[in-house]
Amino acid sequence: MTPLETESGGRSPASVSAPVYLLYTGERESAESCFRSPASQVLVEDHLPSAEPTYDSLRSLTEGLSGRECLQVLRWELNRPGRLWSELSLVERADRIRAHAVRTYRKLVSIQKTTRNQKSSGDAQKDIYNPDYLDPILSPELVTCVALQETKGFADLSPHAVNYTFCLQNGAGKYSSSASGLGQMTWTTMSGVSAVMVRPNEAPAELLPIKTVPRHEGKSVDELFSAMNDDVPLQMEVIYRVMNYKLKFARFKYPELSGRPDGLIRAGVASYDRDDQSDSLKNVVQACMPCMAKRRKGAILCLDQMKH
Amino acid sequence: MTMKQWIKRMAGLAILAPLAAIANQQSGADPFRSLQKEGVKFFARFSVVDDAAWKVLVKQQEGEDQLTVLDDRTARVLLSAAGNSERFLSAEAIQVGSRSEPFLVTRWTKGAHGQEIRIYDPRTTEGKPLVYSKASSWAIDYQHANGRLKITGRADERANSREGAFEVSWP
Repeated sequence: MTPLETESGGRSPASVSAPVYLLYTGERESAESCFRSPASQVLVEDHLPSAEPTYDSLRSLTEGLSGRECLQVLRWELNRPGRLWSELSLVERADRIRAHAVRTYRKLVSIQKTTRNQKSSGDAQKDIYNPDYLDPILSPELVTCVALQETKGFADLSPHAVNYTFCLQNGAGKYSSSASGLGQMTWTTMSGVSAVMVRPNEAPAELLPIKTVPRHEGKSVDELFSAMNDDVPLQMEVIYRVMNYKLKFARFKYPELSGRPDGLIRAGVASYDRDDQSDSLKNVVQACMPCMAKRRKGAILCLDQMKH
Repeated sequence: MTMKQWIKRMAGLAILAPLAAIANQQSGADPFRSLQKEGVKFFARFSVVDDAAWKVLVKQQEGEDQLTVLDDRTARVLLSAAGNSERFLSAEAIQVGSRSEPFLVTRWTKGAHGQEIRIYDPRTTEGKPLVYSKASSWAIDYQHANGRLKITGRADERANSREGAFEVSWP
């Protein structure tokens, strides 16, 4: 496969209907020495440019259908050739997720190094509202494991993942969940971390500034949400941004956890994915993360250790 | 400026101010803009029972959605609760069972894709005002019938089947 696009995001006219790939070199960095790409070079699929975003087209196609009919349309549409990762096995998909998590993390760290606000202010509450400051325990292992947890089983680790709740309707006849992608992110959650009011009559803090995917810089939450289903790097940055917010919030709210990274990770994961009663805590923190930290390849083996 | 001049100027402003507001609306200015600048996300006056009317305000402050319930007559703060890192979605005053005092039923986000219902008893004098909460891994919904709330949601991540769906009644 030939790389069709550079990281600057310029779109080739010839690639309008084809998936876009990037060449990922898997360069080693000291902070992620145990987190290298499985091969010296792997192709990391980038995004699927299309006239109509997949998420929007799924909404149009399923409008007015019963739950059962809606699910049938989803099954067909999400598995048809041409969708992102449709040609990949589950093993390859798991490795792609990890490779994307590493790549986005490196970009975020690189951006952090070039900003004025890269360090902690010493005030945990103030740090929450500085998106350029990455919580020290935010890691590719954590984000990989969250993505595996969110899309294992029903979604087959697909970036297009929408689930049963997409087809459910509440009493008012509205769709009940907009959860989508590797992070199963909803529009409401994205909106909730965008333009957060810290003090009255001051400009709100933007906790969802897209900086690692130039083609999406400056877009509204609506635009980002529509594009996200077809764009793995964007999905990754959104997961990192939300998790970074959750971790820093936990650090502020529970100062007693500041010397206990395991406790903070648990609080962050619980805050990202429902509550501490959920299997996600055991799966992500106890099963997947230690495994992911040890393994240089075969992310699927860490998925196998997670409870289904 | 004489008192007469001052009165004239004030009278002029009193006329111009509403005109300016109308002009703003006609030119497409967002009438909620000033509320948004103050961080106001929700405001309502509930009078389910005449002698128990509340004012409910949700305002984003210090980055958190803060819920405040005031006694409408006395302006006394009955309840103050923070959303932590979760976001407010809705609020409704509902009478449950034979009790005349309503409860405040609120809905919040919970994590990346979950939601939670928190039910408050703002007039409680005993214990904590949060009397019930129920989280769902996905969207949560409730219906009010026969003096009870029927709450429906999903308890786990197996979201591609009907497994994991729950329905609970409160109280």
